[in-house]
This record gives sequence, structure tokens and C-alpha cells, in this order.
Amino acid sequence: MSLINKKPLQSRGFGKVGGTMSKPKTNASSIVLVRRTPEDLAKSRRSVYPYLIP
Amino acid sequence: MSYEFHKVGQSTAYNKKYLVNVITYNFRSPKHLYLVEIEQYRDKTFIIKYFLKKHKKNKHKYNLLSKEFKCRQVVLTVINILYEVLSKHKCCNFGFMGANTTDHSGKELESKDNTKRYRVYRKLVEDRVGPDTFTHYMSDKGSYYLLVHNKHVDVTKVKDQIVEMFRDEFPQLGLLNVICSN
Repeated sequence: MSLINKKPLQSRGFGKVGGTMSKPKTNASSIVLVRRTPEDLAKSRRSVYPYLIP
Repeated sequence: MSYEFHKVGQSTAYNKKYLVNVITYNFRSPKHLYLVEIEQYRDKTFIIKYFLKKHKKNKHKYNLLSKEFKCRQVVLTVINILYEVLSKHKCCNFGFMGANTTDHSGKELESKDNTKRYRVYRKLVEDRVGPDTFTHYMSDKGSYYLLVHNKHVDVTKVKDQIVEMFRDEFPQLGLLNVICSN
């Protein structure tokens, strides 16, 4: 038997043995593209000058 | 407040599913020369990218800091370029994302969510671009910002089409499961 077969499953790319599968780093499903209402924009705007693009 | 800019090139994209062409502008700050690439995608959707010319061949060019501390002037120049593009292409949409900062080796110095670039861009877009011309969409998660022109009959539908396009074009950006409200 070759040495490589004696290595634990995890080091041979089989993932975590006996545990759950690893989760992706970013939970992409939680990304929400939020529509900003004119009121939201006006509230967070700091400039007192007119808009470059109205 | 902002720097003088020039259009320096335009190249057509061949063999690309959605990308139509890339318009390049440049401008000079006291210390650096910047390149601004406006990528035009299908349905008049433009994605704005900029970086230092000296970082052009660096794969982390969008993530590096210039350390010039002229952020406001630089971003306002880019917004002025956006305005010029808008004056040439009526009824177009814009998108950008705030890249997370890394060092030259690519080591991440902040997460990809709500990055400091994104916070600065968002503030300056709020100051300069109002709600009459564009509908604003944002996501702190992933640091995305999208401006959809209000002349579209169905803004929400256009936004969904844009998200669908980028989901297909850039699966690595984590847009695979973007949920859109409204």
C-alpha cells in the first residue's frame, strides 16, 4: 500500500470526515439590492448645492 | 474640486456576450495619472472602473490605495465623466462597486462588504446624482451600486435584466443569488 493511501481522508480532498460540508465564505443569498426612495436619498444627502444630475 | 479629463480611446469588444465596448478616459492629479474605463454592456448599461495608470498591469489595480489623499477630487472627476457619458448616451444606466482594499501581494485588508471605497462613492453619488433622473439601488453586502434611468418604462424590469446579465457575466462576484427588493 502506498503512503498516500494512509493519509486521512480530509487531506486527500474528501472534506471534513464525519462532519457537515463546509459552507461558502459569503452567504450570497443574503445580498439584497435595495431600492432607495427619494426620501432616503434626501435624508442621507449632506450637500446643500444643486445636483449635477437632477 | 475636480480634475480636467480627456477621452483617450474606445475599443470594441469582440466575442463577448454582453460587453459592447470600452471607453477610456484619463486625468491627472498632482501626483498620478489615472485611467477611467467605462465598460458599455448591452442595453446601454455602463460600468465605471478606474485605477492608477502605473497599476494598469497589476491584477489588484482596483484594490490598491494611491495614498495621495485626493479621494474626493478623484471621485468627483469620475462623476463628471459619468455626466459626459450620460450626455452622449441618453437613457443609460450606470453601475459600480467599491473594491476592498488589499496590499500589493493581494492580502485583503478589509472584507468585500460595505467597503470604505463603496461608502465614499455612495456618499458622493448621493450628493451629485438626484432621484429624478435615476432610480438608485444599492447593496452594502458586496458593495454594489446601480443607477437605472427613469426614462425606462419599467425600471424594476430593467434592473432585473441588468442583474441577470451580470449574474451570467460575472458569476465570481457572488451575484449568483442576489435578491432584489422592489
